[in-house]
Amino acid sequence: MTITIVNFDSHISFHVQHFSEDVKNSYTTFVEPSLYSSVIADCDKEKANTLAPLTSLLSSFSSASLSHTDTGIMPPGVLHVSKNFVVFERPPSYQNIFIIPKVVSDISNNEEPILYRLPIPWQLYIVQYSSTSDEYYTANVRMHFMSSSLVDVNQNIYMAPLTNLYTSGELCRPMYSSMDDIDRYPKNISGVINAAYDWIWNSGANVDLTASIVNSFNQLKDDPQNTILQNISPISLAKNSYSFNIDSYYCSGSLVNDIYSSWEKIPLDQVSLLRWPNNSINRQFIDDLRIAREEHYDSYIRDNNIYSPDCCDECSYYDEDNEEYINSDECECSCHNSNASESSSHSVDFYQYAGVWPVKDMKYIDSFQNFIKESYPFQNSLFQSNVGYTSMIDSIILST
Amino acid sequence: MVYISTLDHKTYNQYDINFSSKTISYEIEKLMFPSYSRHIKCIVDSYDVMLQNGKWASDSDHQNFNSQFPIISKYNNFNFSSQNNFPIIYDLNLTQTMSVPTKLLYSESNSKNNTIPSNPLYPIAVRYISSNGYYFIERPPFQLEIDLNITSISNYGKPHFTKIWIPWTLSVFNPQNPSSLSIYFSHSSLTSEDSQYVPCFLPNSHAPGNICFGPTLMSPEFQLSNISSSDIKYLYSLFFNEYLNGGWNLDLTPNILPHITNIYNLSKSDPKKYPMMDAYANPSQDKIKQKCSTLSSKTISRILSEAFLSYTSKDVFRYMFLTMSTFTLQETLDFYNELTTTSSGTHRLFSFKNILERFNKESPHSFYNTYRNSRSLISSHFIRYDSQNSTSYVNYTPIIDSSIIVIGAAQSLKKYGQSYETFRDRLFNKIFSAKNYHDILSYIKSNILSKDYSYSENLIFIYSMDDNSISHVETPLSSQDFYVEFLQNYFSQQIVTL
Repeated sequence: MTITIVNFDSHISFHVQHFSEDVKNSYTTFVEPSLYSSVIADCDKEKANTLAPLTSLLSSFSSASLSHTDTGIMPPGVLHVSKNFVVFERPPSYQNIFIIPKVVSDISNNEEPILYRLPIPWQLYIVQYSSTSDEYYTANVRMHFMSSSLVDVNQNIYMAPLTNLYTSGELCRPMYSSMDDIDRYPKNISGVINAAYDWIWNSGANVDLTASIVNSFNQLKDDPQNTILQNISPISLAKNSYSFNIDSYYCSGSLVNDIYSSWEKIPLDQVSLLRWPNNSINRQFIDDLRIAREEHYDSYIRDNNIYSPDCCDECSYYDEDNEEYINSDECECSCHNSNASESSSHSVDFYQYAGVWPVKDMKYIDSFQNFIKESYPFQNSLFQSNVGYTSMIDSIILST
Repeated sequence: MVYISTLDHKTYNQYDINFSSKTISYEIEKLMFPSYSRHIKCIVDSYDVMLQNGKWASDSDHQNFNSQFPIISKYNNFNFSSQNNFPIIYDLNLTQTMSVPTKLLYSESNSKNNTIPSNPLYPIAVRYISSNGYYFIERPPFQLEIDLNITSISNYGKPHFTKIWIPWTLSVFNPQNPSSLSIYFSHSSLTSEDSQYVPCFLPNSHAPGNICFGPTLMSPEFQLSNISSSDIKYLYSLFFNEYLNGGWNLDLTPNILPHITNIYNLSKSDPKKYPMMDAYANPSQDKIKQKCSTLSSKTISRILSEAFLSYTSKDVFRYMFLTMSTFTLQETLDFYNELTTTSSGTHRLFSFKNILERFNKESPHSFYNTYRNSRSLISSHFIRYDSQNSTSYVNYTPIIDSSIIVIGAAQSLKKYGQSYETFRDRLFNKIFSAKNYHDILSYIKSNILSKDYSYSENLIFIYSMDDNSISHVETPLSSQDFYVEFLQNYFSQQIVTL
């Protein structure tokens, strides 16, 4: 496909020309923008759809470009709309949480959910949406807590210790039983916002994903200001001790019940003043830990003169089935024993050394960028370019 | 025939021009868009004013025309009443300006799509964004301090401050052209397309709610080239606050006066049904005195009793501000609620749906920078011709198309014993009473264009025709250069309407 555009007088205008499937080998020529936009405006829908990818491509260079359809009436609190993301906030409010405190495989058909009425602090929602022609659909949602309304991109945001949320704040997308659950929302930005909000609060919950609650507990369990955790009974804590390691990611339904019961008692006007935990960089905190181990463990061992678990030949054995050496848990060598007895404190020391514990503050802008990276993991590898659009054009002009 | 050629002159393509009525059109990309044609108006239509029944109004008109438009002058025998006989106005150059590998373009596109602008946070409540780039921004009620002198000119002496509540506001603007700001008032937050709004009727606003910034836009802080169009929060704050922080004058009073007068008349219609409007029609002098102690009781009394008898612009605004200063927030909201439930032939109310339609109509489809649209190029081309010639008549030639009239008229009417304001008000009144576009044109032709054009400085009128009603007026400007600059600015900010 070739699109030719007009250039009035000496005004350097816009572009386009070859728009082919063979993107890698084609060249794009620049054309007058308003002509193109007028052409699109006058096209019938079928043609406009055909040209939608090109229109999208061109409009991406315009700071004014958003979408090809109106947003619809949006609720107050929309902070940012771009071509793939919308960000909005909500003030503190009570939310009804319906939860069945079991994993999904244990839930029977007639199981009744438990209702909790939780006071929720300021919330920030970062929503990735996808589009099909002129119709927009919610694709992924992140939700964070805030101590106040967002006024600065460098403002800190916090982890919401709720089920269905990863520790990054990203929602584990709900399963829907019918298309009506998707189609009942307007196919515009307003609908994207409504759907995202419903996904977080009105899609039900179980305890399949409790990582944010566990991680929250581990971050704040010693914080005297956190009255939610301080009010949980010692018996419950003892029952769930397995959840209180730095790398734990699951807790039982009973602990979730205890935490929510305690949370309910916080007055709404106090809830934004509580200290809330920090989000992980990756979707799950255990990934932050894993990456830290991969990147820093060797230097940690070296810097701290610590024996590694496979300190001597006795510590490992060869597993013929898997064709690899396995560290022996039963090794009784002196070095191994001393390490094993201190493994827990060593792991905390290491994660502190690696900078992932205590969990660092997370800014809004950081979370947004992390979200983009996770949503478009290959965007930078497809076509490598380190130059900005303007400089790219400048260099072309100079070279000719 | 319009010739479209590539820059390297190796290939030439010819594109047929279709002539219909008084428009010139050409087709682009017939292969790709077989049914698409694009119309260029402006120049040909503008001659219509100089022509009467298809003939030049005078020889001097004709000569001036030829000197200004040598390209067209060779067609000086063309007949406007016939079709298929229009001159070439533009050589459209089809140029391959530059090329880049598409993969780079895609890469940059991805990057643009998925990076966060430096200041991406919106202002308090962006409630709607249209596909053509208009932002609809809501703001809760707030109190505003007002100098009852209205105008900022210092020779009015001592300021008299009072405070009024501004209700819920809905501001509409396009960040590509933030001076396009329009403001609407309502008693409540936007809930649906049926939500009702009253256009802003504070000084320096036009009847449909457009705000006039005038020469303010020439100040350095409003140089849009220095402001990112993605910084909605800053742009909104800059323009909204600039307007509401005062610095008003009474230039547009004749435009807004009928609206305010109508509200006053409505307020007397049904005291029981509309108690707050009744309070507006029958304000308490004592309460007013409490709210504005610096104004003498005599002055207050005079304003209240005479404002809507004499219809002095300043007093009408003073009446409005003094009366509204006695309203609490709730009373103010009730007042606007009552206002939006009344109806009258001249009372302007808009549903949110109406407002959407208005802005969709203004800008059919433009996601690109409107400073570089074809209309701006056409107008700058036109103006460039003008500015190269020192003949004031031609420089102040009316520019007319289907929606806009720009006129330079004689401010020097003082020479005839009339003040600038008197002339202006008389003209406005005439315009208001005109029934339609042709009446207005006729009036302009007979009463303005026939004046001594050597004095045609200092006063520019711009009328936008919206369903035969006046919707946009700008005045005055101080010099020829200013006029040219203003026209350039004005046209450059218009979005292509085809």
